[in-house]
Amino acid sequence: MQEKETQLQQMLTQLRTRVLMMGAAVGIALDEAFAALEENNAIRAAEVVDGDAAINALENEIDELALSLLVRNQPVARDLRFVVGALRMVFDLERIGDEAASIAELTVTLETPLPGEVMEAVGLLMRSAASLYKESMETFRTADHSAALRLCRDDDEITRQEMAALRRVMEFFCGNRDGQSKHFGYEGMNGILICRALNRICRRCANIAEHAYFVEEGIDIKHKPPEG
Amino acid sequence: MTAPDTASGTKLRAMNIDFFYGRNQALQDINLDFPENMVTALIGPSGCGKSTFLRCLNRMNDLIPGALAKGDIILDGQNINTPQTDVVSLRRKVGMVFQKPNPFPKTVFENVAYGLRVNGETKASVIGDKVEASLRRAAIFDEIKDRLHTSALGLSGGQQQRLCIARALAVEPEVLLMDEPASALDPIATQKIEESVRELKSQLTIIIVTHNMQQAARISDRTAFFYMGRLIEEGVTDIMFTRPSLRQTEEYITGRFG
Repeated sequence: MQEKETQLQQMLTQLRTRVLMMGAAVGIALDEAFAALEENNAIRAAEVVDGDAAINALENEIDELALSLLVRNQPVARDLRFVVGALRMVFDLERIGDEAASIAELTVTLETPLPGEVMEAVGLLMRSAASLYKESMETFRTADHSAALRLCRDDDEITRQEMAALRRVMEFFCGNRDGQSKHFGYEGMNGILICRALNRICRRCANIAEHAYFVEEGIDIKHKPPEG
Repeated sequence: MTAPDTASGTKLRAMNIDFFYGRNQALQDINLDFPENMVTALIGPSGCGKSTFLRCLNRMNDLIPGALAKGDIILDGQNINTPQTDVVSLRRKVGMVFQKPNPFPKTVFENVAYGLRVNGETKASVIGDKVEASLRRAAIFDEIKDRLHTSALGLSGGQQQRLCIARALAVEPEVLLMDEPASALDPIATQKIEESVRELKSQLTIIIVTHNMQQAARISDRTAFFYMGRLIEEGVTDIMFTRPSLRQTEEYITGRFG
């Protein structure tokens, strides 16, 4: 016979479900923002901007649920770590949602698509961000602490890709080393802002992996250098 | 038996404690150190042996017919679990507060003065000073200073319990054992008892049995988890309540069993 769930267990399940729902909503926003940028599709981008309110509402809902869970049940051990981890997660998820919205806003303002050679480098960074996001959420979903540790320690490739994309943007829009300007304007600025937004998404994905590690292992690895 | 190194800060050490109620073994091979000036909480489900273990520490179980304790209990380097131990003197050193407040049917003053008189103190001025000091240490003096010569039975439950703490403190124990001291009290009275414990630990070593996980987390420095007569895990309270080493501990403190 299955044991009846306690109120605490029910609330924890509800909290986990809401965090995963928010994760899915943010994942969709990212995919849509990236697709809109690649297609230079302003309508699709505008939908991402509009959809950010729903993500913000989920954050508020999860905050309230976590607060209520703490007040009613005073969880300890893994349960407490889960609630603390969830609260940290939703903060990062909301900011990733904001970054998706800001990429979408920049897409709306683009008068012409980013040139192919710029888009190629930005696209590489974009796909890394998308993949990192999926992997970080997966470490949380599956409670895979070794994958979480690997993810949050492995950011050299992201930095390299961002530098390459920024260089491509600068070369194309701002001119080469001779200082010969080509087409600097909003497009150049937008290209830079998009690269920075993608980098911030990657950093927040690393944060999510850190939270997943904390929930599983009870050890905070924020702001700590890699061991060994 | 070699005395342990008390310089390490261990006030009391239980070594290989087995305890039997007749043929029933209630405790199995308990080894636990109690650091000086710290609060150690003993937690575990009902019947796990934590109160039995607590009573071993000042030989209160000697009063139970058919009870037998084996192993060593080292207090300041001396094994107290021997027939030569003067248990009256031991209980003066290792005081106890019980679950239900049990003041004597006497005045507030006489409740606290009683232990002093039993121990041979006759000077009224000394007794008066010590009664006041004990009531202050138990954080109750200001509340009842105008009622010192009225019956202790007229006090509220929380006040009676703090009076019992004052009574235990009057004979200047070095260790205080508390068996669920706040389980019958309302939140305000509980908070006052917990404040007293926090204040007292600078002068005493305190060992408290509690069923209230939040209370253990609030007031103790170390926590020991008992289950079915065995000590399962012990350690620093913050660690025990955030990342215990053993699944069994985690399942108990998160309410998944017990």
